[in-house]
Amino acid sequence: MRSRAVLLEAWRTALSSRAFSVLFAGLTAAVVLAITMLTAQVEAQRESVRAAFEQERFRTVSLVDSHDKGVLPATMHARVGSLSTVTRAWSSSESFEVWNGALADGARVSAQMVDARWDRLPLTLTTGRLPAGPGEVLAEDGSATALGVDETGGWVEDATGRAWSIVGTFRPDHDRAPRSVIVPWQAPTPVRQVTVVAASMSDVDAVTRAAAGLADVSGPGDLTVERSDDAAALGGDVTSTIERYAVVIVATVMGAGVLVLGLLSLLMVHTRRQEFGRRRALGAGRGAVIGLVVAQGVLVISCGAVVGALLGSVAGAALWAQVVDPSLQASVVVATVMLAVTAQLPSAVLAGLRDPVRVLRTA
Amino acid sequence: MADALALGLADPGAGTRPRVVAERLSYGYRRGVRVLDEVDVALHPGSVVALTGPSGRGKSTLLYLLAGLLRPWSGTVRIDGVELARLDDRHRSLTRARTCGFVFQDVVLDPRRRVIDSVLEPALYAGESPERWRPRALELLAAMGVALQADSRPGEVSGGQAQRVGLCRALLLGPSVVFADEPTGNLDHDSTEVVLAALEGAARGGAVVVIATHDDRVVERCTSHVRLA
Repeated sequence: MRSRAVLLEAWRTALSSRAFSVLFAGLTAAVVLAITMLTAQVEAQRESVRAAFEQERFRTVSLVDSHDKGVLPATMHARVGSLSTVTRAWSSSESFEVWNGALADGARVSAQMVDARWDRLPLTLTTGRLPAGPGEVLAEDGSATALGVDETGGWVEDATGRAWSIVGTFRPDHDRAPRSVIVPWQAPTPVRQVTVVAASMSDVDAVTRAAAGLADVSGPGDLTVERSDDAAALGGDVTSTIERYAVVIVATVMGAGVLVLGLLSLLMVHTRRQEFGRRRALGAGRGAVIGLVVAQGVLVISCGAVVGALLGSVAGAALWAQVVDPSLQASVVVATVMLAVTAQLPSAVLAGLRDPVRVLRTA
Repeated sequence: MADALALGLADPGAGTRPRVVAERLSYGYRRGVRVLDEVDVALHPGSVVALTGPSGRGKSTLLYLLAGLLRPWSGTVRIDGVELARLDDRHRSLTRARTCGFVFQDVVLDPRRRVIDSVLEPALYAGESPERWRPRALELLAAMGVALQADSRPGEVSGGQAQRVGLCRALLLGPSVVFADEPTGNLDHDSTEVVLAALEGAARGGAVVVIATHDDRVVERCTSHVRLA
């Protein structure tokens, strides 16, 4: 038989054997649909993890003069902040205690001086305004409550007798933002810490190196770098764990599908034994019969795989707003078709090896 | 175990070179149990040969051996001088498709296809375009009186009509050898006449027609007779 004739005959046979064709195509569509939906879901979870670890707190790096050697220049935050890969940067002093100047034995809270463009700090004003001069401070909501200060304002003082008016309260945007009471910078306060926010996770390493390069470091322990390495690594671990589970699930779905297809194919060959015997008797060679079974499988299974991929794409977009990579989908379709056809091979060979005489005599 | 006994009926092909030659043909379905033992047959173009004998003596088996559907335990089968055993499966199948027509005891039409598709089926295996043979198929169906059934499914035609369709399928490509296994076994008188007339027509066209049968009416119409005893 010519190849074109085999394909045409296989297609006609597929159309006339509707029950098996629907079973084969339906099962293949279900397998590809499941894999495509799983891929879309994994991609959505990966996006979600990536987005979670793109938050500012994971892009924030603090360089700390841990031995108070004055290794951090006063202009450092301004120089680092001018980099295109940096969202914002600020310097802060060592913490000191302040208390409500109007209360004799009020609670003490920590304060630190901050040198920055105040409108660029990662905090949200809840009452009042930003400080306009050196005598004004902001208090975190919780600190204001601890100090006994309400929205009408108040003032704080420290042990050296310095006093500041509280002109507003704030909520830090994340756990690495300035906290408690923040005081405008007053020279010549030594810089204890410079905090830098990189524009993206991929910039964090370069920003850290650039910032550290500006420090007057003389020994290995002079500068401590604090960053969310662990959190970022955890994000990577979560993503790779999700992917590993996905691979196991895909392999299981594919394996089970292929096994069922193989068994269905054996059943099909058994129920069509008279047909194969007739074809052999009328002049079809073993190769032609095997080719017919395989071609029928390829055609039906391919149709099922394409339908499954399309349905999977629609489901992925509807449920997780994910468009599965078309090249990945094409790979899934090709792999599924190849595996399914491989699973059909034993039954195709069995069909080709059927003794036509035995079949004709028991028809 | 059957030996062939050729009976002396008039053979129109006698004197010409035989088209199908079987020599010392032996075969059995179980080890050590021979159904045919050292059978010699020479079939000439234009002859209609009846294969007779009691049930189980190997009439159908001899047909299958002559058609190359079975491999003999020993001996050879030649069609037009080509020894079938020397051909691989592909070439043996192709030879069968192009040279032989087969009428089965049970017609074995594809239940899911139309009658016309069943008639055209041998063209597929002979490497021919079925469409090219459609006029010939319709002509044969008309000659057999089943033209109206061309677009029917096998389940919609009677046994006699199905047998005539099977005969159309066997004769489609103008085979040089026609094997018919009990072709009139389940037919009424009229259908038997139509089938036999068609087989005789094929023989007149130069084909060898071999009919395995129990039917004396068929034997009487044949030009030679091989009895397996």
